[in-house]
Amino acid sequence: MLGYTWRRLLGTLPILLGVTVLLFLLLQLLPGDPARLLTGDRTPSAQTITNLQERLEVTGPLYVQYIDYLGDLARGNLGASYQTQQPVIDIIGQTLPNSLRLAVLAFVIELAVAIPAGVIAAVKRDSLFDRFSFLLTTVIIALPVFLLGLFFQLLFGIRLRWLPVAGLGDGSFQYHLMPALVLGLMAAAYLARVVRSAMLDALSEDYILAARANGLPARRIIFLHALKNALPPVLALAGLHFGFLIGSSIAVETVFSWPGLGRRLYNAILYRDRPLIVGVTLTMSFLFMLVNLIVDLMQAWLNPRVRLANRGRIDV
Amino acid sequence: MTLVLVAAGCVSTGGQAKQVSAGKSGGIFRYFLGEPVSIDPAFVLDGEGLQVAKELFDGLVDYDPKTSKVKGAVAVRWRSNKAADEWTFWLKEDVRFHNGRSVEAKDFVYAWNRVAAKKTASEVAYHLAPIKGFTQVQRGKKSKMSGLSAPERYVLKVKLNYPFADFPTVLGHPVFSPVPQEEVAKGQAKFALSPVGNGPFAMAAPWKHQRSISVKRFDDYYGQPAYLDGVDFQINDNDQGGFLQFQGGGLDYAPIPGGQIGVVREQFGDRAVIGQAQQILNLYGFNLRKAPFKGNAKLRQAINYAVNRKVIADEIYEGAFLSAGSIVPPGVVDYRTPKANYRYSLVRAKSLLKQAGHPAGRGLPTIKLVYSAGRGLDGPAQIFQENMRALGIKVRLEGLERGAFIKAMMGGDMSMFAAGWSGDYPSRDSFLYSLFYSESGDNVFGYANEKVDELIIEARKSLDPEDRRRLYDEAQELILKDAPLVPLTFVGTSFVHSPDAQGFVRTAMDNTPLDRVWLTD
Repeated sequence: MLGYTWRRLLGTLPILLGVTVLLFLLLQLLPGDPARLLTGDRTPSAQTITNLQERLEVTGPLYVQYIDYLGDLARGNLGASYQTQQPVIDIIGQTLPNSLRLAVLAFVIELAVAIPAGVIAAVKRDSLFDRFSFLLTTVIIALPVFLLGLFFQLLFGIRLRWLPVAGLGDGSFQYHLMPALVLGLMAAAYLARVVRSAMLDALSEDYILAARANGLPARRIIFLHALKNALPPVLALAGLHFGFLIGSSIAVETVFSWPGLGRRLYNAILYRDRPLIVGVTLTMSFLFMLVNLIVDLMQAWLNPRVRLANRGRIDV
Repeated sequence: MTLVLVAAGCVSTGGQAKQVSAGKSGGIFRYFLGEPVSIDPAFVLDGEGLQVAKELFDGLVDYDPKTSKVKGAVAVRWRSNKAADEWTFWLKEDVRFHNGRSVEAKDFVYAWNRVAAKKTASEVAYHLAPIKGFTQVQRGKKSKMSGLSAPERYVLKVKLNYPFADFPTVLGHPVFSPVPQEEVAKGQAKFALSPVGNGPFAMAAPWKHQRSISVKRFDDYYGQPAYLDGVDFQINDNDQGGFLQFQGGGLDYAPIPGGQIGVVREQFGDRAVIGQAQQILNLYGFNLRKAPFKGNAKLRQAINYAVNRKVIADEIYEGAFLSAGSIVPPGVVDYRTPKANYRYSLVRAKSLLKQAGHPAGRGLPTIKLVYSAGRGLDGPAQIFQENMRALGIKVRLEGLERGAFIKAMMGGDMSMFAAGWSGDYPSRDSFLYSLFYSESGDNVFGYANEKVDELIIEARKSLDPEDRRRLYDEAQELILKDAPLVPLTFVGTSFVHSPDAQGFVRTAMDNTPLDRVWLTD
């Protein structure tokens, strides 16, 4: 298992390298010289542009810039933001914890809502609960994130005054709750459906019928036998979701003025802020792969066939 | 040599008149702020940065918050030679940096050379272009501008490349603030997060990016000290979120999100400040280098008459923006409405179009109007499109991503473009010279009129404010007649403040001097 983990971790390196190459090339293709973009609505003099290009270190051919970047990267230097001149590592250090805390909390909410809801909907198939939860998840999936966010802000922030409307405030828990709820519920709506269908599949298996025939208590059948077998696809999706929760919550971060990675990335793209774009994307990619690895390890733990396949290379 | 005094015809006293109704001290003001690019004077680029830098730093002069007239700040008085290309400033001797050290003329010399330096590579170095020796410092050939000197501890001398009577007006921009060298020496990164200035407020903690900037009252301030204990600039780049936060009681000031101005006006009454003109002109420019607009003033005038600016100002911007009948905004000192102000008239437009050789738009190609997408420019563009249809002219709208837009502008690949021009200083020069002087880098139209150039240069030389105004206004009339642009709207204020906030004034530069604000509660 340890060897497998190491192999996987090492395997992320070429992927991360690929990410940097891709980003360098893609950013080159985008119209707009970063030096020119920095000067706002003014038309800068040629000298100003030259000075800026030297400050940004975007002179010379792209491959030289790329090699320089890799050299810096190897020394742990991600460079400085074009826009604010702040070291990228500092920016990530400031925003990543905010994004991570939000993602973890949203993830907990997602699981806490989706698994019970999906299980109940499957067990009590076609009941009122099942139909209601189908309707509700459809609405949430169809609803744009910012609308749900706005609705929550109006309800909990302005009308009821239970929670602060936006921002990180002093960083206390109450500021996290609303954005995490929105993120968590959006993700839960998808996951609940997967849980439901995986549970339905599991419940229709022969071994469940056998367990029922043997007179095992219903609770034991549902939670031990059915749920454990329904979990692998659920876990796979939840893992993907966690990656999504870290990185793609730009809409939520914007609605709630959350100082996270997503918003920084969005701003960086507008300004072709290459060091920041590459740095943030690298971080996100690495986290995403890490989460996937953890999910795979959990899959292996849940499903001996995966574990064995990786150990002895036995085809299953 | 005749010595000429400027600023309202007498030696400026510089000090602020004591307020009649004294405010109450204390309290923290919570202010909505978009994330600034920088709050270091050398890099202040946007309105957000300007708002903060103006609290942290005082330059030689400042603008009267209500009239935009230039008044002394660190400078107690100033004068120029007869040619208006050599300026001397006498400094107050009791001004201190937040670190306690006295502010001297050498601190201005250092700060300005720092902005101009090649190594600094400031986006806004162009502000210093009038000063002798600027180009050499920009190129990295010299480290000090030859035109800048401190002959005495509290006297600053500035030599310019050309006569420029409005030079003191320029100096109200925070890029000209004094900066303590010893603080920058502790590290540029540190200074960028925690600038040490000489203004009414000092940094209370380093800037937390995308979260907050906290400042506290500076007790050793040379002027009337601020009422507030401090200001908490809460950083947010979402107007909607900020407004909700305001409604939830978490902010004392917030802008009103677009589309809600009418409702908010009713709900908040006096506390909603809407429709006060700012120094920003929204315009549609003609590409004068290419057909069909090249050499066809009648066509450009026809289009000007056919644009219903009032509908754009009242319906799209809900009265927060003002329809623009001039290039120079109403906020400048001694504003006058020009004669050629293109009041909407379809009849005149049609007749001019006929004279231009295109009766009912015949023979005209489809006109491509490019603009930067995502900046709320679609609405006005659609009204423009409709207005042109009434005239018989087909317009294609192209909203481009910012980078693509700038590329299109530089390549000249359009017949019309939407742009916003925000004046750096509340002066006619910062609109007329920058946009329409034939050799100005910001003359994006490709406009050139010898008479206009002459008038502007004449105006720059004239030390008599009334004479100067007349010359600039004359130039503006000519430009409007030539119509290289469609002046569309002047950006106006639209924000709310809490009932506790008193003394809340918005300047034409779209900032609020927070040292004059106090809280009743």
